[in-house]
Amino acid sequence: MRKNNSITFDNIFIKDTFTIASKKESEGPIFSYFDEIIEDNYNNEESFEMAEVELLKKCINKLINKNKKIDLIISGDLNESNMSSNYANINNDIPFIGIYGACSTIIEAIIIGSCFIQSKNFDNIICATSSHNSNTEKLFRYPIEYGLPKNKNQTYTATGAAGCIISNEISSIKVCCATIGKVLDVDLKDPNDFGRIMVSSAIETYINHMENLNLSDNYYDLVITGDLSKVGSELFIKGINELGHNIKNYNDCGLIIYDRDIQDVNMGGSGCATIALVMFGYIIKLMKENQYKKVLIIGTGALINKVLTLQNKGIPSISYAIGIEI
Amino acid sequence: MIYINNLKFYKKLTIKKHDHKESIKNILLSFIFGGIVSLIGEIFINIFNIYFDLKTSQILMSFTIIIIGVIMTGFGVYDKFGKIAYSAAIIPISGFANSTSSSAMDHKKEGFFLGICANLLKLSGIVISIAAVFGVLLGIIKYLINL
Repeated sequence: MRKNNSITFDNIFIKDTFTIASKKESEGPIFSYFDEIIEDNYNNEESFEMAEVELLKKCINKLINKNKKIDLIISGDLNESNMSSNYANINNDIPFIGIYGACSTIIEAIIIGSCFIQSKNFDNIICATSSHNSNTEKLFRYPIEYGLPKNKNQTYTATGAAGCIISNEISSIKVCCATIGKVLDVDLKDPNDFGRIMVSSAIETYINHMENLNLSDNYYDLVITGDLSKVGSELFIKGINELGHNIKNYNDCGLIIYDRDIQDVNMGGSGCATIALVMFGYIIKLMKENQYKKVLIIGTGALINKVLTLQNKGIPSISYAIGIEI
Repeated sequence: MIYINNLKFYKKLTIKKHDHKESIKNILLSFIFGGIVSLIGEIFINIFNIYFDLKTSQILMSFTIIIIGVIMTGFGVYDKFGKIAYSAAIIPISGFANSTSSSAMDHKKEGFFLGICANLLKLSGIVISIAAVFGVLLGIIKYLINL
């Protein structure tokens, strides 16, 4: 059922999850929650690009092995032309949809997949995403070994891949509702300050979600945002409070995945993999242990484009939210 | 809630204040480390000056600093040096060596011509372009003064 830009789902469940993280994430506070860890960022491949493709391929194959009857794969990443997702799905004989939502990709994938299942034409859908630190550095910032010090407000792109199978078969984690975000541009032009860019769309999506579905702020045990980092999460809480809402339990995936004091990550983690790793690795396992019952996850994405940023245009952002319950 | 009303609020919320304290710290660190790099260059000139004349030893010093920069980049140490030295890692000629070699390393897998050669001057091309343009301009000015 749809209310403005929010949808409620009846029978959608997150059946299986799989997460692969790299060494840097394994040094962080939630290291024990990942299914697999790669020691080397090259992942035994020749280039970082192929390393990311293989990461995603491994993740998708593990999920296919867990459930043979997959009807569709929805996947996306940060690279040009959705490189990793396209190459990871070569010759696996399953219909495929490639999407781009920057760091919010996995939430977007789950929303699209849930709508497909809701239509009763599909049963099991894989939603997956990946990101690689070196690939995004090369693509959006400077060469990897360039000596320019990192901006203080910059975030560290997580390396890893994570995915889930959503299904109409009953299991413990249920996808209840979702809000599809709108593209917002508040005329911020600094590509090194993602948290600040994404915060407005995160607030907009949160408020849309609460108002459309008539929920109170206390409805969710935990609200987590994707990768607003230290700057963004502080602004998020400030903005939400100024608009008359009050979140009792809030956290940010970019702050959960790394320990900012010990690891050299500036403002926290970012990238498609951050929210996917934290959500599938950490939050869902905590929910299964009954620590949380209702969680709202807001995936935030800065839709950065190198060319238009140089043409002095603002960087737009988008946020998607899903509510999961046990 | 109507989105247009919120846009003003978001703009106000996300206004960025410049951190002057941070800038002063960066400038000081750049000055100190820049001095250290220059000192190393000066030492090299003096060493080479034992065997060569002053002009040759100045050129040899540049070569040495470039080679050190490239080697440090190759071993992945230069970006760590950049983290503490700020502009002192970018402005000296070792920074030029670093930007060139780091671009080359990034595109190594795309082949020699279309990978390394095409992307070698991706960043350092800025320096070369500006040097060429201002070289011509200053040359014309010098010629006009001497006329």
